[in-house]
Amino acid sequence: MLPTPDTSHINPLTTYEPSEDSYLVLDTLTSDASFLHSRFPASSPTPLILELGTGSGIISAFISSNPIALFGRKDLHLLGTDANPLACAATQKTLSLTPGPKYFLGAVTADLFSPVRKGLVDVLVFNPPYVPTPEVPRLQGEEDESSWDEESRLLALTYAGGEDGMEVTRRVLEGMGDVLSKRGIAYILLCRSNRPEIVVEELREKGWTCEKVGGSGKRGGIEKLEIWRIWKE
Amino acid sequence: MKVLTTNYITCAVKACKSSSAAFPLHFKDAELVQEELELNSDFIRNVLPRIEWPALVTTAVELGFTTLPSTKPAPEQLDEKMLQDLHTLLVETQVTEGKLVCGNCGHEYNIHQGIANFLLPNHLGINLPTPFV
Ligand SMILES: C[S@@+](CC[C@H](N)C(=O)[O-])C[C@H]1O[C@@H](n2cnc3c(N)ncnc32)[C@H](O)[C@@H]1O
Ligand SMILES: [Zn+2]
Repeated sequence: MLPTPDTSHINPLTTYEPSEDSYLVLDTLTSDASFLHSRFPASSPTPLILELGTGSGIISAFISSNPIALFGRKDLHLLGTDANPLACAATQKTLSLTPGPKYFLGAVTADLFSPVRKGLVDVLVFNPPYVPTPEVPRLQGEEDESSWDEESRLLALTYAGGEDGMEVTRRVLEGMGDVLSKRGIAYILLCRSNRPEIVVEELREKGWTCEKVGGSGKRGGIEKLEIWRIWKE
Repeated sequence: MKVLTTNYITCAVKACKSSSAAFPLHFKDAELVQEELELNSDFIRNVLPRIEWPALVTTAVELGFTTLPSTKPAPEQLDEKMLQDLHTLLVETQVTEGKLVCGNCGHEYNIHQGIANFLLPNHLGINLPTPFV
């Protein structure tokens, strides 16, 4: 087992506390290491990893501190985004506390990958807000908002996925063709209510290769959470 | 935020994506801190092929680093000094405060405590939860 980054400094009222889904991403990346090794051989240019919705930063910190175990090379660099600036601050703090190479470029406050240039990202990782809800919260607070309203908005950002829990993830699946490099791959977490079989079917129709590389919470043969690796051959 | 970030980002306004004036974003009133870190020459060598060199030179000059050559060094030109210079700029330097300004639309993105904010006022219209097809 690779060590889990320390995120005990975060404020769980304003930043997503690492949970079953976060740990599933860590385990899945660990078990998918041989794929990563062969996809990004040490002789090739330094892989750029982009994590969307970094929250506490646990996933980015895990990748950044384990380049050899996960990628078989010492050089990686990572960028993170989160719509919640407090999560970005938590991410930077977690990264600064985590031992290992210092190639985290920074966490920026942004809607998904909106400021990222086309065709650069080699590994996209997203543990999204995936719970079905009537709506998705605004990405920015109102000027005169009370701190209670602001906290509930930030909390909703962590889980509220709108229709089928897919409104945020869908935008990622539709935009990722632009941000991924030729060798780029995406790890996306889906939950049962996202109807992964339909999501994956649609992706395959658009020419993506999809493989389920992680799952947890099995009940009656059905998994609650799944992680899919999505890429172009 | 490390300096290299600016080589990978551009203006978040959709209409600026195709404009060459939107990249790189320009630093304004930038405050820097240096953190001494061990040189990993593999990182410098392997990251070099992916760097947009002219954009990096522009960024570096804006931050007061004037020693970069105007064309990207070939692998065999990476002597000790060049590696160290690049390491200082790309790995050891953090921008903590300031602004990044788009040369196309003029939008200013704030950097505060090392975190740049690319959320747009809603009227600029990309932060809608509707899928962009
Ligand atoms: C389920 S949490 C995951 C946090 C962390 N990566 C983890 O695994 O513990 C989802 C994160 O996505 C962020 N988020 C939600 N909508 C977003 C958007 N449109 N752009 C960027 N980040 C977003 C939330 O603020 C939250 O931090
Ligand atoms: Zn612009």
